[in-house]
Amino acid sequence: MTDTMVRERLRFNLLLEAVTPIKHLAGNEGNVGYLATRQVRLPASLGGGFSQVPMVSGNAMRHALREAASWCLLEASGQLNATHREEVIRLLFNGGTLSGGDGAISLAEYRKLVDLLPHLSLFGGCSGRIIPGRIEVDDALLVCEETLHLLPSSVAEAAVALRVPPGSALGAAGEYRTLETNVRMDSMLSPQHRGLLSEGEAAKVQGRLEAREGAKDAVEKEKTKSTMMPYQSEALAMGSLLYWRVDATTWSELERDTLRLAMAAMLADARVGGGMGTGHGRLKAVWGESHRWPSLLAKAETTDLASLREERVGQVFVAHVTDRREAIAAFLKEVQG
Amino acid sequence: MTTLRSVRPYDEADFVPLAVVAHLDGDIIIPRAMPALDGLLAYAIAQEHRLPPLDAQGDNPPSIEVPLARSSCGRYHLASFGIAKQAKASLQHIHRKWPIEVSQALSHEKTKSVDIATGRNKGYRLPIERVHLETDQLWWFAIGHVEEVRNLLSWVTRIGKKRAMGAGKVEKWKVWEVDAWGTGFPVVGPGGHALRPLPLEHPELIEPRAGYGVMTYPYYQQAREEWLALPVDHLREAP
Repeated sequence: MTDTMVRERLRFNLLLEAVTPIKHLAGNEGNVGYLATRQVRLPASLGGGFSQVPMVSGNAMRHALREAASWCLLEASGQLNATHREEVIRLLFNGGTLSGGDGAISLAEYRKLVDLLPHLSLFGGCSGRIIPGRIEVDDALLVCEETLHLLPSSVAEAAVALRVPPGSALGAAGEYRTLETNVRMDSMLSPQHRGLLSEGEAAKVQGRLEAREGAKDAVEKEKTKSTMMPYQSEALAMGSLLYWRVDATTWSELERDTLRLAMAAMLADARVGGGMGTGHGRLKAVWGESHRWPSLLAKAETTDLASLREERVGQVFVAHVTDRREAIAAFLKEVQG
Repeated sequence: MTTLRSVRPYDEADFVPLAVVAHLDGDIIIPRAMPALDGLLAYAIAQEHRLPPLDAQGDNPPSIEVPLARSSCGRYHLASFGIAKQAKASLQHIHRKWPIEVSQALSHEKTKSVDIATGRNKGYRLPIERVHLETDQLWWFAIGHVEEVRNLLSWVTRIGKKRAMGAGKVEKWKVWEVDAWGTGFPVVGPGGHALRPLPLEHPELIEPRAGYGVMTYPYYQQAREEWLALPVDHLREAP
């Protein structure tokens, strides 16, 4: 890190739109998956107290940012087409783990690590020892009647302008929940598929189907039952708005550029939650502002989302990483954690 | 050993009894002890001096002195741990899973398989409690320099655990001078209960609760635990 060390706080306030249903689940009850929610305090106008509101966890959003930054690093360092050891993948995409050893990392090693993998100084990680991160990623919280009072005024105004026709309300959290039903089919129930079986296998399946028809008790039914399985899961409706805030403490232009690049790369194709392969989880930033505090006592400088689309975003990061291509390649061959 | 202080000079003659309140924006995760005011200030000074993580500082890291008065024995600072009551708790699970798709794309040809059922790549689903505090406020009492405590706390934007994933946002800090409630201020409450880890022989304590604790920051270093009078868990029980 060669540029002058100046502490700056950065904040991104974003409104994300669910382009497809979002299936960020907390768990399941039987065959029904249910959405992850966050407990929020209700405004006095809704009677006070607490309610559970769907969200995409800060943990998941932070992982998406880390992953975007890691792909950028691999590309800029020419390592995208190389193959890597398990330790490298774990460090870049999982944050690494604590390994054995004496539990200490030397200052020289620490500096080398954050110099070669600059996004680690923001996201943190473990390579033998914990490297603390300096980026704080909030949940992407559903914008609804229960949460509107929790949003900064500029975000709340933008959300209302985007979603609420004059004279109507934003809608309660429950209105944004949808329930999807899917069925995992048993291909052996289809004569066409059975036609592909070998002679012996076809006879076996036919025997099972006939036994099923004649099954008299529960044990027999269980033994001969089909593998067809209906299942349901909750999802956030398409078009739902989510409020997402990211805070960071940065010390150099490299860190600031790394953060902007990670944000831009992640938002270019943001996907979260389950069912990504079946039309779920796509998010699009529809409104945003970034605040920058150049010193502790300074007033915030505010810009809009367009600052993430400027061409210069990522230039400092790419130049820094490109300069260290060989060193990064050598380091990745030896990385522990 | 070098001792680091806040970068602005202050006069210890200006130390007064003070109250500190963190107004939170949302919930907070406090699985064990409440946050310590002196620990937060030491963190802020470490940030001001841009210290690397403690583990990376070698065998002889600098010590940090916060703008708070020290006890007569000099072993701890006159500052309480956080005081708050919970309004409502909820359970969250934190998940980790091995990035299979990335691993398939980037793994070295010598990697024949990756064990994701045991060892370092094992996924987890970790339960953790998040709490909303009554009136969204967390209180501390101390004897120290009002202005310098206020300056340093502006470095602290989130408190508690899992700050990196959205918990413990501080909306604003308030620091002001108060009247002390008695000779135990600010480390022994009016009822004689400890408000921070204290030596068991502290004269103001009444029926102290003994246990293993760390006397001064950094409080996460469990190897430094000793047999002490521990503070009441205000979050979950009445003092």
